[in-house]
Amino acid sequence: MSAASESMSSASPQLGNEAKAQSRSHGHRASASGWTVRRGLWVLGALGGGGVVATWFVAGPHRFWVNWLIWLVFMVCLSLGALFLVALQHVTGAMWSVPLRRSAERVAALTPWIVPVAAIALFSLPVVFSWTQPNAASITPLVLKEHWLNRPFFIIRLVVCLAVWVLSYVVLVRGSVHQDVTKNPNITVRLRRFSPVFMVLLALTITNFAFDWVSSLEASWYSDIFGVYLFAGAVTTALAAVLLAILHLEDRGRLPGITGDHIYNLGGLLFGFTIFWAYIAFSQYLLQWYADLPEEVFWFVQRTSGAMEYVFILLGIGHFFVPFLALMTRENKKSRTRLRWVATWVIFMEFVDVFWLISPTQGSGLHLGWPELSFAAFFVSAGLLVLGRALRMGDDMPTGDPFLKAGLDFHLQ
Amino acid sequence: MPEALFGVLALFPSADALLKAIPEVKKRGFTNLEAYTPYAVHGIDEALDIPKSKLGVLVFILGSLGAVSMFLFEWWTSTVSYPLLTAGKAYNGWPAWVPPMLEATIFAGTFTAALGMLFVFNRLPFFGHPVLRSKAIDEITRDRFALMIRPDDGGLDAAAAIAALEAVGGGAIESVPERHFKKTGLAWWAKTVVQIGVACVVAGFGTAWLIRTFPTVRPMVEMENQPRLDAQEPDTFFASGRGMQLPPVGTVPRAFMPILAKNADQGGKDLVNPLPVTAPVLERGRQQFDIHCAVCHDRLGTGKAWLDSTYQAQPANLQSTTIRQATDGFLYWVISKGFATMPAYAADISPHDRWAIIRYVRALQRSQDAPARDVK
Amino acid sequence: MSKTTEPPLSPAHTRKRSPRDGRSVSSSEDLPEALRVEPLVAGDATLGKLDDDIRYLSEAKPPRSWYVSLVVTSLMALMGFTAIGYMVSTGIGTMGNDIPVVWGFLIINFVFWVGIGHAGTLISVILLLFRQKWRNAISRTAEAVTVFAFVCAMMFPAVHIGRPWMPHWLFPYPNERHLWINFRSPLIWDVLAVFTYFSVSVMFWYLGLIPDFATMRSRVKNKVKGAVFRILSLGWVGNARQWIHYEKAYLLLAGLTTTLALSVHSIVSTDFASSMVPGWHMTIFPPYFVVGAAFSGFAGVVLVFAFIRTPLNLKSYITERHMDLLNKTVLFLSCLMAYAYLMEGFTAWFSANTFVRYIFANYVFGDQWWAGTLTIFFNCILPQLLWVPRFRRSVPIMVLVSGGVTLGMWLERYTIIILSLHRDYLPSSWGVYLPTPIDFAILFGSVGIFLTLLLLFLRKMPIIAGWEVKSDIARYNPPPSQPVGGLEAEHA
Repeated sequence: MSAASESMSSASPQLGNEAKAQSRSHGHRASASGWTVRRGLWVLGALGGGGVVATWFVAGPHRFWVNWLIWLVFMVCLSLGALFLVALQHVTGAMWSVPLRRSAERVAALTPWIVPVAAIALFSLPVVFSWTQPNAASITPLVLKEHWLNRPFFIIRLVVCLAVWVLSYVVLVRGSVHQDVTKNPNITVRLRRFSPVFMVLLALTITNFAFDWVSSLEASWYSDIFGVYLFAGAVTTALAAVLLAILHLEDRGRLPGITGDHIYNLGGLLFGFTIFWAYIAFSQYLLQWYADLPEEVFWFVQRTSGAMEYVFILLGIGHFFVPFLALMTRENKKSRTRLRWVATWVIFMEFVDVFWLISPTQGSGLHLGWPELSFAAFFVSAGLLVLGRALRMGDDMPTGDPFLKAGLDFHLQ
Repeated sequence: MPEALFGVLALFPSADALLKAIPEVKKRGFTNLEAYTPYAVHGIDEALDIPKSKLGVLVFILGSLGAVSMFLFEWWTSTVSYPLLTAGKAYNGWPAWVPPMLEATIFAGTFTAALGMLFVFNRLPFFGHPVLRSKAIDEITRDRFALMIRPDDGGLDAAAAIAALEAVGGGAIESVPERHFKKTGLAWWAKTVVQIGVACVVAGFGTAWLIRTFPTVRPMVEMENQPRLDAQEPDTFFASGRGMQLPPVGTVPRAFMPILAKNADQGGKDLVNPLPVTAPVLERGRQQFDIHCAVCHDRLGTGKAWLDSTYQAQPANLQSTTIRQATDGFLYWVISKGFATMPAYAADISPHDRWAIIRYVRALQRSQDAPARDVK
Repeated sequence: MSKTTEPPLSPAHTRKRSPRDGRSVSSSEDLPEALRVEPLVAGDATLGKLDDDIRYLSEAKPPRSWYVSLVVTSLMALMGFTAIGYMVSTGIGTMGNDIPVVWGFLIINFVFWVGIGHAGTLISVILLLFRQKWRNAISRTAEAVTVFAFVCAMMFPAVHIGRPWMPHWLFPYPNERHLWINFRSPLIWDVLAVFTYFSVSVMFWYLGLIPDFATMRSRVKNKVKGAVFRILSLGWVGNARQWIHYEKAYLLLAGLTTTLALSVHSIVSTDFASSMVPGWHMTIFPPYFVVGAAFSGFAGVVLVFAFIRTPLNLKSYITERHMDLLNKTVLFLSCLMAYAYLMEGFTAWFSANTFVRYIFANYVFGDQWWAGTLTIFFNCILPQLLWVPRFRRSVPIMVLVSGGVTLGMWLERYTIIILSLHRDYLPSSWGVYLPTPIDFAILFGSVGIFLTLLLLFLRKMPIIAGWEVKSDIARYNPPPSQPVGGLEAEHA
């Protein structure tokens, strides 16, 4: 996972033509180390891909699909969180985050890639979901939900979510990139009008996604805060990813004008959202632990007994206490090195969170072995390659935004 | 003779002017500077080289202490001091302790921040600051920004200070005299402690007298006299005028067998001991005898126990021939209904136990008059 | 590397009053109208004028309308106290509480006032953390609203515990039975949370007032008032070191109080959510209640300011932009409430639990359908009017919407508490809640108490945080550089 902090800066000489063809790129110089890293990622990705395929045949379809779902959910969280950050900047009209918005838009470049991953994931329906199993017709709660949990409706909902996400990505990100060229301030007006609409759609679609793809693995369980829970984790991890991207670019001098004050603000947001995630996670746990209703608490029992107990403890300490204590002081929020570590750790912990949510489904307990590592190698490499390509395209700051200069002039008071 | 100066101050019309003036004044060799502003001006701590506030460290330490102590207190009360099973939760169900711990942390942290800032770091309340007596204080708290040159180690050259302040554009230059306070020495502390002690003693005695003189007010007397029927209250609803009614004729308690014999002799003829002579029965009889009977009749049944001569009647000697010749039924009737001064024990001893006692009494009688073959 | 191109600017652009927070931005004329930002203070505001305006409010004789209002609200408060006294001395039965609805108006009022009490904290503290300068002018009054709302709120747990002369049983002290309080109970968490919140709010409010008391201490004409302000200002002098520690404390308090605000109403929600009553045991309750509290709090503040801006001549400091931003927040929170209601309704169906499904259907279609329906109408539908920018600045509309929100939030608590209790698991246990005149007297009495305290505050204390707004004024209207006259230099 430390590959996440590796540099992905430049196009290789062979791909220089591609960069020129983009017409918005300002000719980033090739760097040998960047190309070597990308090559390494391709190799790692290929190895991982081999392991992924092998998992199906050796470890079984159930294990394969569980891992596939984990990475689908993680991907969705990361990209939607990034889109949320972009929309948030438009809705609040904040100045300080204008220069940083392009990095969030680039992290959101994962959004179109959700479509193939989710399409493949549809084949997992008969394998891992409890409401598709043959015995579902005899379980009363599942029967009572069958107007919602049936395959055609499920697929329609997925298609709607994907459409909303991809369209929002196009409007928000392509609009901003287009503004670099045309310098038209009315684009900002339009994006400011669209962003609240997007927020509403995001709230509905991420909730639906959480209910459909994570919670309905154990379809008799329910918790109405679950959408908010996934959302909190999504924004936290997106913030960490955006922070890493910005530190990466700043290191290479590609963000002139960004100061410690901007970084501090991002660190502060990460701090705040870490607390928010912990608050949501704990309220869910506390209430279901307290009432101890068998139809609810079994889900937590699956995730806090046996080996999963250690993952649970790790999650509590690692996803809350460690970032909380690390990001408390002003110095830490401005220190580039410490922020790199904390951001990488937060992304890793969010992955542990998604793993903890999905992996023990139907009481299968903790499985940690070569299948999980292969999936990690495959998806992490693929993701880094996509993000690396995004970081090479276009301007590093939204140059067409009328408030860019004001944003760069920002000072903490 | 000029009195000691606290410092020389000048007023500026804006924060920017003040911030610009500070380095100029420093260039003239004055190092001990203070600034007075109507609101917090950013950049002034760097201009005057004031270190950052350490309040955060104090808040973190005491806040964490608050968290840990609250958690430990909850753990101790729930698992050690008085463990109570509530709602089926384990004694050490820690999720339930988190909300109060959070509140305690915040309480500790916030009060540390506020009181620490006031008492520890700013030494407030303090009504003796020399600037409070200056002419400039009204302007400072309104819309002017003051820069004060204070004496450094070598004292203060007032004229040079005034000249420097004039040169950088300060107006309404004022020399603020120092104020002297009596030092709070041991005598003062002793006096204060004694005064507080006396006040406490007086307050204590006064409270005690008040409580004794004015009885506790009972605010909700009606909750003690509620419009419901309590035991032994009269009530006009019933013809008898009583709230509690007698049971109907012929009512028997549960598992109750009435004694049909009308007197002791008849009881002696009709009642038969249903219990076998076994060790458990005799043990039960012994236990019950020691509890209920031995106090008057003595452990061996001799009738000479703890009642002294003031007690008019004499408990029967169970070893006597009369009692030996009485039947079990007779004894049962006597225990149940009483005999002369002996009260009725029917309410205290169950029928089974009464028969067991009788078996034991027979064993006692045999023990005091055992034939030789028993002793072998 | 990548060039940052400047947006098209007129070369003669200077730093005008219009920029947001005083930073240089393209001048207003070059931007489309939708992107222009208004100043936070009026053009003619100066530091001195602010002081005079604040002081005038607390020194000048209030108009007759103030006295009349005060008499009315005091009578309402008196009615409330009488009703409470009667209820405490006679018994809980004088109110509508009965089986099965064992929690009635008292707990609804408690949650309602605690909700409104979140106004000040959220405006004062959370907006401070987000560095939203528009909170400066409104924070002092908002904090006062918090303190007064909490005074009202705390009355209710005190009197509804059945034997209010034994409140000490709620606190852990060593007693002869060696019993401790039940730390596992949300009702105890409530006690600790509300107590902490009240004391912290009062302290935070007082802390912010210290420099303002310092400003007023030598300028008030009334000697007694002067002495009071002198003592309360603790000898504040305003030197740089004091300000540095003060600001640090302020920021630390802001961070801690944010956590407090979130946790207090979450804990209040666990009073309900940790139970098994259908409709209460939903995991979304904690953030849902917090959002609801923020919602009713902001609406309460909008109501207060909508009424006092004009009569008290506050338009220079509490501008239309402030009202616009407040109403935008109300709209945002209304959308969050709509999400919460949607989630509750959906999950109720999704839970496949007959009782939960029934109770939610009962909320909007049952025998008291008006409660659930009006809640949704006032909380989610009416505030949608605020999408229109013109409406956000119109006093009648914002009074209508915010008044509706206040009523709607009371009705929401009514729906949750009374409707869930009156028809739970066993139909043979179903009942109704019949509120008595005592119930209503206590409710309106608490409103009277709140308004009385608010009226007194508005005319007796500094209602704008002078020292905070002064920094805004200095940024927007830098004072002219002229010599400081009036005081002559003294030579030692």
